[in-house]
Amino acid sequence: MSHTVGKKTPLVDGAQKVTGRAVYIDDIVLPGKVMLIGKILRSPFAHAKIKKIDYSQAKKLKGVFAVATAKDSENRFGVLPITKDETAFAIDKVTFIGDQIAAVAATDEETAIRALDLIKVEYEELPPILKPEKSLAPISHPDQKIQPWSKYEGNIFKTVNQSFGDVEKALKESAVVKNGKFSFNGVTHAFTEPMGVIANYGSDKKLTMWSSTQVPHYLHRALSEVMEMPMHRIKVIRPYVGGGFGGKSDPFPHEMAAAILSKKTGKPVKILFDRDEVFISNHGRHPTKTEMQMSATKDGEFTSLEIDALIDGGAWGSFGVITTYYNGVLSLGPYKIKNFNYNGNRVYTNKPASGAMRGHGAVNSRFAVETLIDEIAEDIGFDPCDLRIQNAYEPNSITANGFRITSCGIKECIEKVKIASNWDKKFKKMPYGKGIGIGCGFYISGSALPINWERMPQSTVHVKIDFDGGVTVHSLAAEIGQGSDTVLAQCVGEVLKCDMSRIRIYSKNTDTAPIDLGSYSSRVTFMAGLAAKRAAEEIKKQILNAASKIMSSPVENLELRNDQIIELKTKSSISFNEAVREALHDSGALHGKGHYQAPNLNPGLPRVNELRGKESEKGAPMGGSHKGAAAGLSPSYSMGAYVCQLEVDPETGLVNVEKVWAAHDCGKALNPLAVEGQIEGCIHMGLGQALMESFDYNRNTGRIENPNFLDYRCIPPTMMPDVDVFMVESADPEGPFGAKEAGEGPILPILPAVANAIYDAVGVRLRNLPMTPEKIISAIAKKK
Amino acid sequence: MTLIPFPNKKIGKKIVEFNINNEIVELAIKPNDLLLDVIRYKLNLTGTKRGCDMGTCGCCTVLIDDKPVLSCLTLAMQVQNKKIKTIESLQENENMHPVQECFHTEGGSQCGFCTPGFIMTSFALLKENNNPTREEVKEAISGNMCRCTGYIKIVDSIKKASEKIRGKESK
Amino acid sequence: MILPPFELHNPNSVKEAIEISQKVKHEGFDYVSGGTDLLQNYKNRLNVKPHLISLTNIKETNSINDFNIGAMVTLDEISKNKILQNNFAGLVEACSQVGSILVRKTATIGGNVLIDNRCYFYNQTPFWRTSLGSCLKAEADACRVIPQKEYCVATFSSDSAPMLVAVDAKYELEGKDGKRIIKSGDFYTHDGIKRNFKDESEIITKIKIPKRTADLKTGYEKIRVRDTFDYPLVSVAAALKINKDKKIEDINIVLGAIGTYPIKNTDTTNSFIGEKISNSIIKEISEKIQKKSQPYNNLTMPVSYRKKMVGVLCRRLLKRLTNS
Repeated sequence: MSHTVGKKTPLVDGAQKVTGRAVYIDDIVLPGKVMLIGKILRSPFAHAKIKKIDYSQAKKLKGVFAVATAKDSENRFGVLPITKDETAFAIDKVTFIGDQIAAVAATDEETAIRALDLIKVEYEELPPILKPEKSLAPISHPDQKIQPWSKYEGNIFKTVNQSFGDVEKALKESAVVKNGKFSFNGVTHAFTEPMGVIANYGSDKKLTMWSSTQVPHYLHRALSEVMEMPMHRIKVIRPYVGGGFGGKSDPFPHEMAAAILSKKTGKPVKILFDRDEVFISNHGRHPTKTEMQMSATKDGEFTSLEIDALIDGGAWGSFGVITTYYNGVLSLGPYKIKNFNYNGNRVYTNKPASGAMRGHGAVNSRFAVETLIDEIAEDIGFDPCDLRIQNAYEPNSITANGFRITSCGIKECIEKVKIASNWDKKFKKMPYGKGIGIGCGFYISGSALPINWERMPQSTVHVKIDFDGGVTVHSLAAEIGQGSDTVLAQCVGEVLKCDMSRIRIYSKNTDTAPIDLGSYSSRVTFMAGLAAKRAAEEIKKQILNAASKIMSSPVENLELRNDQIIELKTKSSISFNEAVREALHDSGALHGKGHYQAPNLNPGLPRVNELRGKESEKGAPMGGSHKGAAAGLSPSYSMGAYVCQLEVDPETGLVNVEKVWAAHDCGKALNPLAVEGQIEGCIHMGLGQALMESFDYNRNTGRIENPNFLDYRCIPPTMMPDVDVFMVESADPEGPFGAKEAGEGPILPILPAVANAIYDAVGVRLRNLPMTPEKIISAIAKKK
Repeated sequence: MTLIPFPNKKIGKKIVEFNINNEIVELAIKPNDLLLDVIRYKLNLTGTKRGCDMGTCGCCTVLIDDKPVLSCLTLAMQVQNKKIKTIESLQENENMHPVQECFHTEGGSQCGFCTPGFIMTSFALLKENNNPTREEVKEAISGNMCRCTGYIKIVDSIKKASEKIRGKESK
Repeated sequence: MILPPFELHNPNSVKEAIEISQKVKHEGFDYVSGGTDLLQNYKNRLNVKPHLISLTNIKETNSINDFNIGAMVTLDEISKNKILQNNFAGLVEACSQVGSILVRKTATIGGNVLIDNRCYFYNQTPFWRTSLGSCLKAEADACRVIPQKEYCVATFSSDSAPMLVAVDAKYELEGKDGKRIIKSGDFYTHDGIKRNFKDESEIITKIKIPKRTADLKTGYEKIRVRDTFDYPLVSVAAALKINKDKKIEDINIVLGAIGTYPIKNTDTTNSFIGEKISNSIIKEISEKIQKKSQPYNNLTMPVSYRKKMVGVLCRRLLKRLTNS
């Protein structure tokens, strides 16, 4: 009988949010009224040398306490240790419109803005490189190299080539080959809370930083490098965060700027972004051009998949190495395809950097795969749902590129939505303009290989219980609205079977919380959940030992149940508090520790941690032994299948998405309320990218055309469809109580489902996202 | 120098008196002070949020004389003698208002940043119409933006709250 | 984002507002009603004036009497007004689709008929404009849409004005030289900067709807990607009178968000007066109007699409109005 797992649980920090008491970065007021406001000077050019910065006038302005530039720090940082290409301020040149050149700290916002006006910068403009195709080409002059330390040719950031089986041979044996050229506009996270940071460098030479971040640990490391301070003198505090989705999962230049300004002034400095600065920061989904080819036999067996991806990275690396891998390696699952070629290139361009965004690297390729599958289905006369079921993996399989799939509910997902949507009565049978389509998804529950190759668990949780009977859980897992604090509480609560109000989560402070790598790549439920469960199990032992003493009964006869310890034979019981207080004797507060480290997923090869400290590009031998084998490797994979029903107005091209049936295999829904919320939120975000969201760059200048919520359009409530959610529980053998991820995977199926439904409705296949009204009517006109 | 310098103009403050959350306050306000900034930074009522500056997200929604208003596009001087309600005022003693409670129990709030704005808009809606259809709810909240929930559980929360409110009123 | 500095005046009457305008005119001023559009531009430091004269305290202009709508009446109030719903459905349609519901609760019809023209080179932050080098309507002397220095092609963005022009509504103005009434169709200029023939001291006090509007079939359709927040990308307002023999007695179709002012099409539609309404006539009218329309490439939707939608919206609107 489950105590909390599987029950709809309101978020443990929800009461603060609905009463307006949750403290976000801009709500923080430090005592003493000494906090300064920082503002950033940004480059108006996409590519230019910085000849001279003169801030003497700015410094003289009354109310200005400090101005900082690259002279204050040239140390490089970046979220991936192998591509640290960012600095607090642009050093010799600026590489995108919006690049951070200088920052001021002043008494108030108006003074800070006026100070920026007084900073004189002399630039020597360089031609911007904006087309990713151009970045592939070798350069003819050193000035054309956007990031000089990149070791690749031209302006290439990363190249990945992977090959399995024999695609050529497979093609010869295939009855149908479908291919297409796809292009995906960049999209961005568009969370409602702009980023912000407060840095406080005290007279004790210690730095405290509050930041709206998903990755306090990576921020902690980066600060240490940039400020040249040991980590133990730096404390990072994550307040409530108003959404992240990957857009707050890097250490940022504005965070470094705030720290530098605080050190210079000896006062706390707050930098809060205006909405256009949030867009400039970007780190959204990469604009990508993908050529894809898929083949199958006439009996519907998928035989090969070939992908060529050109990924526009913008001016920095960010998570780009991983993006380049994920565009290819996550395209195989959930289907059995043995023959696979992938060629991916991520390039630098003079635009705001792209980075990690929900479904990182997999969303665009998944769109292409799922629409080609539908084309194959049509060609060989198969139903699209049945064709997918036929090729889907079973539990306990290994993919062609060495991924170990354990729990696998993809077939059940497809069957559920096929039946619920009444697919057989609707597919190809509805009147012109109305259509139904299916799309599937496959995603990691965190990366088995951490980005820093230390011998350190990926998540550690400490639990403390003291005299008051409260259960304090310490973890650095970042609560950004997805419900991670609640997951930790449920994992601990399920083990201790105590009143959930005893449990309090302390996840905000690097001083006290043991390291969790952060909320990205959908790792927290699986990894922090397991760590929490293990910590609770350790403390459970202490409680049961104490209870055993009190009740004079062996531990095997005792059970924790509903805030009590029950003796199974006599049915007598003592309270949780009684057992705790007994356990305190001679030891003081109880303490339990648990951690998670991804297992060696291929026993024949050495663990990655044994390659300690080697930042070599040879790739960690986990899973397969090919280069980059670890990219995409995960202790468990989620899958999903969605059916989307919509109506297209063939004259205006406007799409009305009527209903979505969404089945997501999350292993076990620890908190069905949160899992449903994530699925519905993912559908919202995916529909946005499919139909109307687009990060538009000016073709000639690289300037973002729409850095505001008016022209960057997210789906409004009146255009959201009804959604029927099915949580498929395939009971992962390793996940906490069987759970795996449900935060990013649920975005993948909706985009292809929409495209396939549009084809069913009006007979046009669109291969450029977003599928805006004008593209739809153009395609319809072309068809005629 | 810069193409668009911030204008340098000295302007005087005026005393503005208004009722906020049932308390009369008197503040020295500049003509270009925004109501949102006065609420957040002068009165320290940080429940109302700043999301987009341009009235395109609704996170700054407060009630002025019971009407939902975008406080980021409202001049603070214009609220002389008006009654303002922010999220902090909804709670009676230790109990949450039904709208707050339902956003909490029905999953209408995830990261919580847009939540105060939605709650104020819903509060105003339910005062005007205590039994809205789902379509009427969606229409009423179409000036507020959420990136986390996809709006479905927000509509669920408001519908549940309307049930609770009608239940209370019939007692 | 903070607002730039300005003095704020709160007159209690139209007369007082005009007096203040004369006192500060040498420094420059703007009238502001709801402020939901103007303050966005002020935050972006677009054509900021050192004085704002708020009209919100003026009681004379905030009620609806018969067919006279006070300029300070909010768009939300107009959407809910039963008399207008029954007699001028097109205006209710236009007003209820402006911005978002929160905007409509504050925005006024006087403000909406005077709303600034929009262009994606203009409606941007100071940083963005600096990076571009700004434009003719703001800090530079060259237009970025049509490279020249003479005229601005910022797009007309009011939803209510095309509908008012279609029924020959009049605006009552009061300024330093007294009161006057001007036809809405004659009020707007072709220049995206000057926009209208209002003397700067003049305030719109009333929108006067002709009584005969009650006998017309009126309607408004617009295209925007989202059904909230977005400004119009293309819009069509129509006012028709069909007699019992199904012949067109009167027809007026006005385009919004195409060009710099509300565009009448009487030179096209007048030739159809007396014709019996039919699907082919509707198609012909729509195609002719579409052909003549010339949207500028300064909104976030391609010109070719917006032009096509002129025809689609015309046709759908005329069909809808003649079926009932």
